[in-house]
Amino acid sequence: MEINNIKSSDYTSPNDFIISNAKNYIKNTWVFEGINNLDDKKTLDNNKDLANDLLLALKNKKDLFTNPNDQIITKNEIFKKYTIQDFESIKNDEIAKKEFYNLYNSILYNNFYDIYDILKEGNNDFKYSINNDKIRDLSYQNDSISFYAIIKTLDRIIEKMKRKNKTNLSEITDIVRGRIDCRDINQALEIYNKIKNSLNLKNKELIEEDNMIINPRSDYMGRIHLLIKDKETGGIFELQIGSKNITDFIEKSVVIDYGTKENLNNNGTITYIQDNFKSNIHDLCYKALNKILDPNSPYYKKYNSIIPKLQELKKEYVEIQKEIFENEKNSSFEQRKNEINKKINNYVLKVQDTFKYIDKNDIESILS
Amino acid sequence: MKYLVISFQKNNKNKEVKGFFIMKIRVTVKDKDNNIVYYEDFFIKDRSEIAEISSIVSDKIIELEKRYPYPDYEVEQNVSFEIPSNLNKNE
Repeated sequence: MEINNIKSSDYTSPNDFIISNAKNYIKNTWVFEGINNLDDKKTLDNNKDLANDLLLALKNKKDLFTNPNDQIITKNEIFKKYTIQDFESIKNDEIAKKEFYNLYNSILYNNFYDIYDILKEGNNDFKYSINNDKIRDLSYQNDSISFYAIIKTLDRIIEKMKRKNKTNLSEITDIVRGRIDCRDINQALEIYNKIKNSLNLKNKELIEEDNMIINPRSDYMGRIHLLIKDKETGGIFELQIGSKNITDFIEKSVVIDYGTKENLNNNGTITYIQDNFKSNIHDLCYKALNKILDPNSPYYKKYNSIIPKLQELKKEYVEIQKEIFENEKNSSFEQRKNEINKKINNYVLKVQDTFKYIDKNDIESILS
Repeated sequence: MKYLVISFQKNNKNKEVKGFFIMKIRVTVKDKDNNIVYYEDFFIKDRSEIAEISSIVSDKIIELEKRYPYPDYEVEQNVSFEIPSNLNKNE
């Protein structure tokens, strides 16, 4: 597959930071000299190149993304057709890889700004707090919400395409993901409505939604998954809006203790080190258990002796979620908070105690 | 002229500040046990810097992926908001 890679002949200056691997582009006047020497005409003539576009935007200090950007959309369309083999081949091609990351970084940052704009609109008292070194709480109408986003790496994309038997990148929709954690499901619904009503103003289109607050699943609830198309970049952005309490529960850290293991040192000696597996409740009690408890999976037979215990864990996982969900719905969560937290802490101990009988390699392979 | 600022978390505790935010991009390397072995922060003060920081973060990710190969390590990128005053201190 051919793509319009950045050609080194396009940038002959050693100071050009776009293709340079030099790490001193930060606070480095060479960068700005390089930009100032950029020939607008030449780059405009050669306007198929995303890097040119980004560089020009940098030179002119203008926002690339207030209008649909045909070049970025075109580049995105090319990458969307990429197969696993195409991605394997660009893994060792730094220029093509850079182009890929550049594109998806731009999509992520652009979407993040737009969602942030929607959230702060009409909020005169938009605040944030720092708690134990972590800055993640934004005040939204006197409450705290957290908004953050992540992006998949090339290796993760290849792995997912292989695992899910995907033909090309267009079938992967969660490369760029954002999440908003709200006080409760009622506030999550409010924010969902606010975002849904403002997407059009931000050149975005809602292409899919799974509202697990209005239509909870039997084993997963309290969250809304949105798939948003950004018309400015052509990128797809997955946004999850949900209850912080449910998120805190399902993402609560779990450390499985496998005792000690031998560690071969460089000098040939052996020491014994602690063998742990760090994970969270959702990965273990939703993703891993769904696989192990499937009677058609090889794990079901392998762990036959502890299946009742695992079924009990799954049942309790759903019950705790439901309890948080129902209490938030009735605005009674705060009164029951301590009791529910106690249940969660006991549940974590049970998970840790049961999962130590499941081979670490099996868990890793299920979750990979 | 605006610069990219690299900063590490500070010992600010339980502060609350009114105002607006800048975007913080944290590039993290985790080992197989989810331990963070490296992280670096990048900031975008306004939308006009998206192009610049997209490029710089891409270079950083490529560099880290070489230094910390997958699957023994994984390079992650998390985006959130940060306090403008932290940025000023570094400038």
